[in-house]
Amino acid sequence: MIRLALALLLLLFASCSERKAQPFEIPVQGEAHNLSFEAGLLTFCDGRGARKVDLKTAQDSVSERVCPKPAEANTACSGLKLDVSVRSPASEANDIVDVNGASYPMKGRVHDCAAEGSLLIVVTALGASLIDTAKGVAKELSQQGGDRVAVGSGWAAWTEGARMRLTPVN
Amino acid sequence: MTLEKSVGLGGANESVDVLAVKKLINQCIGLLQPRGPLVENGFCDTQTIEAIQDFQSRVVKNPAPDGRVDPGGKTLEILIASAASSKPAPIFTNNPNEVSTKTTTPSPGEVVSMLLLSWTALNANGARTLAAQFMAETAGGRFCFNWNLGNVKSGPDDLHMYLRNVWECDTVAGALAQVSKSGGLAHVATAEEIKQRGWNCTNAVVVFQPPHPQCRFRAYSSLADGAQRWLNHHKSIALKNITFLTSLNAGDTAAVAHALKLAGYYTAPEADYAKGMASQKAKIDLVLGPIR
Repeated sequence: MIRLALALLLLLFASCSERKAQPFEIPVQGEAHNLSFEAGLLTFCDGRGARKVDLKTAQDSVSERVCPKPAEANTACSGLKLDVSVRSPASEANDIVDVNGASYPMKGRVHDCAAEGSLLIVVTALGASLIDTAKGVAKELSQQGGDRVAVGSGWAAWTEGARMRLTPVN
Repeated sequence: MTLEKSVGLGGANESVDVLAVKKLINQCIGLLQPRGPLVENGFCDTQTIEAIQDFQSRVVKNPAPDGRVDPGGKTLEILIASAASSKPAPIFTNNPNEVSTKTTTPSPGEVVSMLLLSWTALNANGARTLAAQFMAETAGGRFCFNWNLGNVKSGPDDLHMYLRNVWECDTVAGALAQVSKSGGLAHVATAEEIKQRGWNCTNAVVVFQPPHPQCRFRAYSSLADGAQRWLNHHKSIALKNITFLTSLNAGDTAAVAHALKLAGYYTAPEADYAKGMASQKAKIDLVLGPIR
């Protein structure tokens, strides 16, 4: 009986101690690019070369990948699995993202875009937004501008000046 | 080519002279992008004066543009020279998907006919109301380039064109950072530029020039082609909001403006948007006559 109680207590402790995913940030050097989520890691390149971030421990370390030339940022949200259009009304300072018959005015011009499933993440000069296209809702992730963005593995990451911000999105 | 009398702000504005100046401006309208061409008639309106001022400021480099073209004056001299040397719009990259930028101004009748063919749920009044929305967004179709309805951005792999002077609000530090990595394709706007263009930003304005990706827009081969994406989006709005279609078909521009606002389609004040639509609808009704 005592052993059973101890086993239950250990099980309870183990489940409580499993860290719930929390937003975090890491420093970057120079222009970060080629952001990608794979197998519990965020990989990217910056002035130091290839890097990898363990999403469970938030540890940033050197990666052995080879860094390609920075790809152009996706300012038009083109080539995504979602059918997205970015409109830039000539007289307005803000782009408008159209997807699934709904429009989402951004704060500024779109600097980069990424999508996974029904989630679309957009960074502009003045913010980062996460759009759940299935639910038709947008959430502001940041009021700081960004340049590059990635989404995957239940996480979103975007560059914000000299730092990379990561947040769980599920 | 000569003028008998002056044209523009405070000018005599004889209709023959006004028409001549408008034609000259239109011949070199590529220098004034994203400004669209003027309607070629003998009437000197606000747009004509603004275009003259724009030309004086941007081409003549006159720090105090007076908005007037005088016989024998410098503005006329440079206007004639610019029109004579006007070339087709340039190509900025060797990307085979890039096409030159052309102004494509459809007539209200063309837009209405296309809408009636493409969206069978619209009645004649509904097509006119939707045409009014398009006309209001493009200043009567003058700001429509390569049949891109709504100024949709493009990636490098789609058929595209470039527009000049795409602007963005940013923080001062953000603007400087953008300029530093633009490869010479962006600058921070001067106070004079901001005032002249009416750009409204709290901090700094970054201005991009081709072939910066911020200047890359979709290009389409025809009005019907370009309208496809625009219309599909409107059809989706109609599926979500049944009053949108009924308001269109009733010619209720205020209700249509409200439905589009609810859908997040535009960020301008609703009253201004509705007013612009109503004005264009009245013009379309006048041009096309009564609905039978």
